[in-house]
Amino acid sequence: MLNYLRELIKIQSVSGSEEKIALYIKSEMEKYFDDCKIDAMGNLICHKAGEGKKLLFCAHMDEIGFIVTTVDDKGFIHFAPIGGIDFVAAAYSKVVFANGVRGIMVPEEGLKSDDFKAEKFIVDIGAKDKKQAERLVKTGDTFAVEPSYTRLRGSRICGRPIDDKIACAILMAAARDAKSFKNDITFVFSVQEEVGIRGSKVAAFSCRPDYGIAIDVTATGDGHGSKPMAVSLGGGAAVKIKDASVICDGALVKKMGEIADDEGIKWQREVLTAGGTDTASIQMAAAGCKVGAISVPTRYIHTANEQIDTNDAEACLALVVALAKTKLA
Amino acid sequence: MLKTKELIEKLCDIMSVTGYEYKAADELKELVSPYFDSFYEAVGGAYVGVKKCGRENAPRLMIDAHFDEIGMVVTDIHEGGYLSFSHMGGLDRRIMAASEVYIYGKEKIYGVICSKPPHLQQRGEFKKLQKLDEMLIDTGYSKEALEKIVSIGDGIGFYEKTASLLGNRICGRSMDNKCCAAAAIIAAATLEKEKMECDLYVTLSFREEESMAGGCVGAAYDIKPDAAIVTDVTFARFPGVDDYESVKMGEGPAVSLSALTDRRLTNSLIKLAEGAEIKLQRTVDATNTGTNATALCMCGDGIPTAVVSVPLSCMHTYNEIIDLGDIEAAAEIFKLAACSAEIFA
Amino acid sequence: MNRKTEGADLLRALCLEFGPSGCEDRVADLIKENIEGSYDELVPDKMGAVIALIRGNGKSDKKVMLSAHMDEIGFMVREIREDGLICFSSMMGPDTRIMAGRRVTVGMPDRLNRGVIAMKPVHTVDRGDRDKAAPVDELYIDIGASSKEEAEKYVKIGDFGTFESDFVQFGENGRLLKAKALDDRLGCALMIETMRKIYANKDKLAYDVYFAFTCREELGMGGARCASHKIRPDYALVFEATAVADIYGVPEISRVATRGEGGAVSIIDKGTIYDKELVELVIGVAREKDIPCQIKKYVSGGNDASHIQRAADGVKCAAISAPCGYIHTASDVIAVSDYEAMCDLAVAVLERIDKNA
Repeated sequence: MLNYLRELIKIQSVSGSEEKIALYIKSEMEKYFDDCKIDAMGNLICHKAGEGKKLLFCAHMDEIGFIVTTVDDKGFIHFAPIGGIDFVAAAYSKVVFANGVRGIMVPEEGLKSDDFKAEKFIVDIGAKDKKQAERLVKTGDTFAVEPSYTRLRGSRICGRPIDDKIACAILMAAARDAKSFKNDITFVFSVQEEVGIRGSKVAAFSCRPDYGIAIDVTATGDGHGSKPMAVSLGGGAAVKIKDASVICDGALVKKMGEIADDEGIKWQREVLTAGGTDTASIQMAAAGCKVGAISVPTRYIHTANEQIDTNDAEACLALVVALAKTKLA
Repeated sequence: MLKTKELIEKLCDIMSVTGYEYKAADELKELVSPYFDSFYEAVGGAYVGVKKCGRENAPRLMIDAHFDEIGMVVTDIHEGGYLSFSHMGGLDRRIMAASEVYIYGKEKIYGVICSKPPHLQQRGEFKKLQKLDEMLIDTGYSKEALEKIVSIGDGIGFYEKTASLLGNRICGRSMDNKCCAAAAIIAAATLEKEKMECDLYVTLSFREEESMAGGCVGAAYDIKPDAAIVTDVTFARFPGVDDYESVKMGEGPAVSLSALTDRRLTNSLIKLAEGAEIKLQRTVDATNTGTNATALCMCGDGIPTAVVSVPLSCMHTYNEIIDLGDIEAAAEIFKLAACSAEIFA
Repeated sequence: MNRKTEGADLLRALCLEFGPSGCEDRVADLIKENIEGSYDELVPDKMGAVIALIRGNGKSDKKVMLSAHMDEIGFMVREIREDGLICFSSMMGPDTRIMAGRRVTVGMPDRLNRGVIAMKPVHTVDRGDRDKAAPVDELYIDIGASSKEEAEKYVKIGDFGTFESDFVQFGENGRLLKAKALDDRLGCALMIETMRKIYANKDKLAYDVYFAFTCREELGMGGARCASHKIRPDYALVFEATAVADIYGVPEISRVATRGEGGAVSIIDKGTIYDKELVELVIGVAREKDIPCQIKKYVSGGNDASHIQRAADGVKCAAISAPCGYIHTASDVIAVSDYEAMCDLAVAVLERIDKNA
């Protein structure tokens, strides 16, 4: 799983530019699933036909990033954010463009952090003027803060983007057990989650599942100055009860808890007061379906150093496999 | 037969932004001189139409309607054919965004006042009005081409033409004060000379919107009228406007009761209206009528002056609304005054 | 009366027609008259959209949808006062600076009246409030009625309203157009012209093309969503107007696009990240055929593409918009040359998707 994560982190996939990562995941998934295809919006939909209920698991492939709007006379790149960017975290970061060009994200000199917003930032790629810059970068190019993967003490790692490549890695690892799945299983690797859960909606529409389960990251309550929240790093797989966008199906949540207990998987209950995931759009697609979500507890989400405990991710993986193997009513 | 609506339409079509009334001379003369014995431009700043009763030493009645309208003036010409401007008369900044204008340069050019696109606005900015000097007019010309046609100092007027609403009501640009000018002209046009008790001087005066004194004072100094009626617009009743400072549209014109105006003249007008069963409302403007009358009554040896006003909605916008019935009633009162010896007691 | 026109006359007729969101019938009728004889089939639509199908020669099973919205920003009558003044709700956001003093049309498709958005005279506004826009609840539509009884003969609660605004060609050599509702009647006019051209050569068309004239875009509700859900196209091209700030004093980074430099192709806006291949195809075709076109250089606004893209199981979308000054006012201003370039581009792109399909 962590090998997958390391590979996925290296492939930039800013929302709307997921083609490359989709092809990589597809090449792996094709080893275990019968039918893998990419739909009109770019979602990767992998189907393993089976008896019984239709289960859809969804992890989003996209990461937050930026898009070039204009290049000014000094050769500085002006841009707009894609997804929820925290500019305090992004200031003075190194960024990488899809074509490999590097630069530094810089706010206006003397700007107070309270006044940070995209219009006040530029990216300096070291070009001496507009002409030179435009040879490397043009309007519409996407870029992101430099990726990284660092092992911390014990089972903890940090880097970016762990949101939501850890979930993609979990599904890819789960696919190896495909032969033992007991239901009709679809894994969706969705696009454009970070800009408003867009991709999963059309994917769920075309799959029409009975159950939809999103895998994503969630905040924790045990960080420095965290808001109170009963989710901790190392506390196991988080089973979502609700977030700002969705109320999960009560029976499914109960069932997931029972399965985890039966299999000896460490788990915790998650109530997230802000934020949303693909769960919401899956629930509302076409005639709707019963939804749940499994989350990897994560500190410092949407920064260059998102931190997780790999044991939690392993627990999530175990729960996904256990669910897929359990004959659901 | 002179049609009220048609006359107002034609008067409104003549651009007469404050400070540029001189440009109206030819068009105005062609339109209204047939209704007068003589028509001339007074040095002080007024077009004057004279209709005489034919008797020696008849008293002189002056009816003054200011002819200028609110507008703007070009203050700068920018790259891409954008113009900066300032006001001529009291502009209402609430109506400026995306308004349409004509710029009166060497030729008449159309333009749109730029509105600020949403992405450049701060949160809640829509509640604030832009300052005039932040506004621009988009002409669609290049700077070079525009400079051949437009110069700094050229006048700018709003675009709207007169249009009909329900019944007797019409809307459009510069109803303030072309509708009152129309009432005075209609009175002169339809007066029968043998019934007149005076020589009638209709002054269509300049610069009221900027100075509130206007060219009528200079014109009056030469005319030396024995009595004067200033006719202008007043606020029609409207939510948010106090009843005491407004009158009802469609209920006839109003006379002003004021310390500045001549009460005896005012009372004789009221009596004339009552005698002819013409509806006449009253406004109280204790210390200032807000019209040319304030300056006119003190002109020369002094002139007994009354104010007859017409209710108007949306004053100083490009869609001022009036009721044609009120204009026709005002014209009737002017005719009665011109045919009455009593007003000159 | 024959209302079939073309070129600037067609655009004029469409712009002047009454069609606020939710009340597009008159525009729909005008469009139907103008597309007569240029389609194979009208597809019924429950939301009121006009959807016309031109069948291809069957070489491809792909479906392409072109879309433009018929509706314009407007008002709705909320209450009629005892004095005959009409209270209204805005269907164009809260900015009264573009409403106050304006001439409007109010009523229903079969009975329209002129009115003025009236407010108390500026002379009676407190000195301290002179920098404030007129509050929306102090604006009334005056149709010239002097009582509630009179007003109710002409206007009823729930009636619709739009701006009244002339169609004016102006600027150096008449290079600009001003009208209300250029957003998005220009898209409607473009589609009508495209249909006429395509239908004449339809035996060369490899696949079915649907022309969707949609409803209720300005409410953000996406009448196009339902059209797209019904048609299930593989590709969709949205023709729109987009806000620009190409005015004096605005720095280049905030201008979005420039009037006169061709249709603006969107890569991303607030509602949609567009399909890369389709966007590249559009830009490529424009370059190849030497049709002016520009890339929209600011992430702002949104359009029906957001609904079309995510209807049913997803659609590949591109949007081409005419740069429009002072958009969402009574005075939308576009460049004639941009409209013409977009018309050319629409036909050229259709010919090309053909080859790719």
